Amino acid sequence: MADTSRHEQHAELVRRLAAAVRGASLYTPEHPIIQRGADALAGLCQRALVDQEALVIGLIGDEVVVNGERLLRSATALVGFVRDLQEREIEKVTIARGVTRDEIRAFVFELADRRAAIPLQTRLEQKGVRRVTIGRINVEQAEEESTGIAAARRIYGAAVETAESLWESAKAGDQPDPGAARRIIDSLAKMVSQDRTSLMALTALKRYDNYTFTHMVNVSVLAMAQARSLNLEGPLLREFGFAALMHDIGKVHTPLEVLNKPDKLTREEFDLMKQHVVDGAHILRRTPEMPALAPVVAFEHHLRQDLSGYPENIGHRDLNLCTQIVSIADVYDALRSKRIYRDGLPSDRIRAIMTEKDSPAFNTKLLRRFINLMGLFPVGTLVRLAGDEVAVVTHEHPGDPFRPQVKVLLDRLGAPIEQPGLVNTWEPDARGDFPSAVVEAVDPDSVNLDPLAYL
Amino acid sequence: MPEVTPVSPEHLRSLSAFARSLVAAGRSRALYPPDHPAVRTSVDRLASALRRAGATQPLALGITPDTLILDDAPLPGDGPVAEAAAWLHERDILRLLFLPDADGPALQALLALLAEDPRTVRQRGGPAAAWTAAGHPAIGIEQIDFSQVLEDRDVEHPARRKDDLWRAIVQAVIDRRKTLDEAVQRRLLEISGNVLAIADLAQDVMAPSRAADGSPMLTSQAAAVVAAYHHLVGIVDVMEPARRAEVMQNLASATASLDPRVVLQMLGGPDEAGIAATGAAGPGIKRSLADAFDDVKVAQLLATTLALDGQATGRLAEVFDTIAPDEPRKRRVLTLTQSLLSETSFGQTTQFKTLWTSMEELLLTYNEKPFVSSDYQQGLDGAGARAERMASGDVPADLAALVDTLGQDNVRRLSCILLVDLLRLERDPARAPELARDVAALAEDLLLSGDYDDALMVSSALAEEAQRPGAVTREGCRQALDALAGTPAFVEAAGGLADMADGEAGLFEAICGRIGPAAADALVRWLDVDEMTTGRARATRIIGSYGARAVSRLSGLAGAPNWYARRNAADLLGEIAAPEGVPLLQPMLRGADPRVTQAAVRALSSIDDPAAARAVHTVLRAAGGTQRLAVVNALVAERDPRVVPVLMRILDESEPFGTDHAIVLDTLQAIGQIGHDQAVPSVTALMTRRRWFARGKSRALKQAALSALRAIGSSAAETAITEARDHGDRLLRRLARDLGGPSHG
Repeated sequence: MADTSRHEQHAELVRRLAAAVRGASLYTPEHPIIQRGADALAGLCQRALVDQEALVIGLIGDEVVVNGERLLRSATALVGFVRDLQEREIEKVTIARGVTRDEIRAFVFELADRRAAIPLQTRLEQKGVRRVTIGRINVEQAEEESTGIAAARRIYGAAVETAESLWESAKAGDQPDPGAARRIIDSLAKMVSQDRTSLMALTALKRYDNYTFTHMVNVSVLAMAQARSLNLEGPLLREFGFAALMHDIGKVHTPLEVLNKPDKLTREEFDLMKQHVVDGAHILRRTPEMPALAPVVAFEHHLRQDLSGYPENIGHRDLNLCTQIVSIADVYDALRSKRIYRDGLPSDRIRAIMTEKDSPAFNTKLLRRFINLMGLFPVGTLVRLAGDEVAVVTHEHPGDPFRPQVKVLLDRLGAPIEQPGLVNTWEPDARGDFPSAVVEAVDPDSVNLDPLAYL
Repeated sequence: MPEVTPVSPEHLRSLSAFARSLVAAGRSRALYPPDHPAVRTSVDRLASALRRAGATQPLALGITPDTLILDDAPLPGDGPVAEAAAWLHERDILRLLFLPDADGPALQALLALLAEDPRTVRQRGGPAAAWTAAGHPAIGIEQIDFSQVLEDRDVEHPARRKDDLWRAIVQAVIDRRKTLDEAVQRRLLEISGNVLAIADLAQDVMAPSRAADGSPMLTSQAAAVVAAYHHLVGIVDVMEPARRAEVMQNLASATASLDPRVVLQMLGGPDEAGIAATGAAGPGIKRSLADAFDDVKVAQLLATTLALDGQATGRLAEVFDTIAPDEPRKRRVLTLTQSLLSETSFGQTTQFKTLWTSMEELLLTYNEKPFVSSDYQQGLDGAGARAERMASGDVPADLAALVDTLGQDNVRRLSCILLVDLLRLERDPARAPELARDVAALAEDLLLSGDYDDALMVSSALAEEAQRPGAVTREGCRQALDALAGTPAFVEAAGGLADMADGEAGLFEAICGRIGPAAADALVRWLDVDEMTTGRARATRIIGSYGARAVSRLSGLAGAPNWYARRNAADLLGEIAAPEGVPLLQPMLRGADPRVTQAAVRALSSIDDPAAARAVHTVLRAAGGTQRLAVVNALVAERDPRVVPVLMRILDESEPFGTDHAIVLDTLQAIGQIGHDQAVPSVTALMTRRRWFARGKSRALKQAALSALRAIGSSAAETAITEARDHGDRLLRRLARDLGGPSHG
């Protein structure tokens, strides 16, 4: 068989499989659409297996490979299919010669069943499916990164360099190399999850003084930290990192003079600036291996909760978690970082901007969680202490903003304290611990207190 | 020696772009079949780059292993040019000639040859021989005479021999092997003394580090070159330490010939402990190379990079700081750089002055001081730990619910919405057709999986854009919708029309509405049945909804072999009632099957257009007695008042005393049978007509008219009879009197 024809046959087969699995989640097994889909898929498999022993559909990253041949990424349905299998850690589907229509049907339905407690392979065996098997691909494990400052420095440096090369590729009209991005996201995700303290501080080095690229990496790290705080991990955590890293890639088409203009943009300039969300979505949706969320986030990250912001004139949607988290990280890092034309803003100012009353920009609960994550406790903030008491911040520590002076208002049982006393949370006890350490910010409404009344 | 005209910076840039496009297209052609979109795109780019590089003149390029030669002058060996040269050289090509008519097919043929394994091409006598046999006259190829070249190289450049030892060194560098045998070490010493051999080695170790699309992976390439340099310096440090300075100078010279982006990576990356690993002492490669760069070399590197990027990056500033840490040297080099740039087209642009100021500022002010505030640093410092602590606690229910927005179905839907939004917002005419095709492909996938909800959303977007005045996507969307109607996915979905539940069928009908009449092609097969099945009813409704636009789609059905298919076509055309349907209906009147004839007459009667009546009239005129009778019977069979206007038109347009006499009589009889009041004026008018020398025909006509009026029996008809009896011509009065009064009961 000619290579072209074989390629098309494989592409059609994967497309049919994706459609059949999707259909199986929408209809009952008896529905004619499902019957037809299974028949068509079985027919394709049988034809393809006339001169091949087996069909091995492999998923490497976001690539689909059939019998060693990489398929072009086509439409969203296929992308969704790949993502679905990745989430369930299925990296390989093998269909052997002699496969029957019943086996194909059973496989499609078992694959579509995402709620079953029994592992898929076991269910397939129970259904007598012998000629369709699933598995993992043996990929050589990358050398384990050593931990510590040196490793973190290397990873952060490599991340900024990768961000730069992704940017340059996109600018040249080429597709950014998702392999390079994935490698660095893997390392950053590992650092976020494991070596928690040493990595983040490295963003503070002038060494990587190119706002565009450091911003890409910082937003990626901040987004992954937020996602991790929601107990997300594994491929999904990396998808956040990926989407956040690439969220501004559309700016490669924004004129430099607009991008770097320190003054207020004119209407025309702002129109040009706004185009970056559309351009970014285009770049990412055409890039192979790009997670499905990445173009969505690139497109949506300037939308507010009520869908105001930009792009304008778009269809209704509920903003997904990744977009909301990246929006917070994006604005926060932008305000925090030093730019040519201004210093980074102080934390209380940023907090005031981001939590502006009645602002629909961010999800309030996610924002509060982010504030806790970043440990921003300006004067007047209600906080919970390590002993579960509730206190109001009365003074920030000049050298350590995470250990302020506080006035304790509620005891550990939530009862009001008649004569609130001041506690210096920076003072260690005899064992060197900080018994009154601030744990998190507290919503005043949730404890029915007006912190300003105690200042 | 002939004088060589220097290549202008603009021409150089276009040649560089051409070289890059050629290699990229070649690699693309090696990966994909010729009709693959990636290949088509790359060929288009190549053709465009060739036009820019060659204008309208023949373009002849000589090839050396290191660079391309134009008009006897080697082009400066920047990345793409050097890369293309090496790539073509590997394929044994000595010279390429592109004539002005070297277009897509010629370039496709060239790429096919270049994509072949060079060994296979050699077996066929080399690229020139293969091209002569199967190439295109718009491109000429000369090939390398290898026997001579290898002989020369062996004699003149023993260090550059690409023999097994050379390949072993390249592989050892790529594999990052630390232990090398004695022969390899001797060869490394040899290479370290020859700048060209070092540059060759650098090119060879960089070669495998390329992305799938052929673009260089700069970090990996830089790392490979640094690894090769470590080997060279390491062996010199151990075996001939006195040569270290000389070798470092050679390395710097060789480095200057590399792609400046690779050089930036080399000098900007961490100074690995590579020297220590080879057991040598002394400063690291990065520092040593930096020291070996004189002001001119640094200025050239800066100028090339700035011209390519159009801006200074932090990375460039870092490298510059490494090479020239002291400010006086920085300023000296920047002055030289500005002077070099001022001779390029980039340096002559109006915005250059502004850009230069910002570039100069960044390059001069770079330092290693902290970049963000200390409290941001501290905030980041603890974020990971806090994230872990928060993850270990309970996630609030409303936030946990937000995690569901990342579910498979939601992300899929978001991707659909995104594509639809992109379509609506598209302003780029170049991107529009492709985007419309992508959206249609998505609709196809959704149809295939039975997701009619989303398929409707996507097809609605296409339909709206196809109708939006001034939309750049308008034409692309129209074409995409038409193409969608012919896809296996749509045909398959249409095939399941009868099996769909009402809800699904409603969605599918709406999708068909968005696609437009092209969808009818996949639906008409449902009309090839006698009974009124669910499928037929649904398909009829959908096709009928297109109105006149669907008529041409029914021509096949109207000429189908089965009578019921033709009847159904006629019924549908009658329902549509558009004049465009008349040409399809008229032949049905002549057919042998009275059921079809009847349906056709019914349909024509529904069409409020003179053409419909004319069609019946024409058939009546042309047909013989039996056939005409069949048509007339069809006209009256259902006593359908809608046929009355048709009959009236026939009366009005016929010549009752000429060849149409019999038709008129039949028509009057038909009018009588239908018995509708509307025909009275036409019948009355006909009744009063007379002609000399046609007494027999006049009599028959008047008699038939009076009979028709009597059969109609309405008060208007009876008034007309009375009027004829009292005031008609003599013959008419007599006939009317003979007719008598109306019968009652």
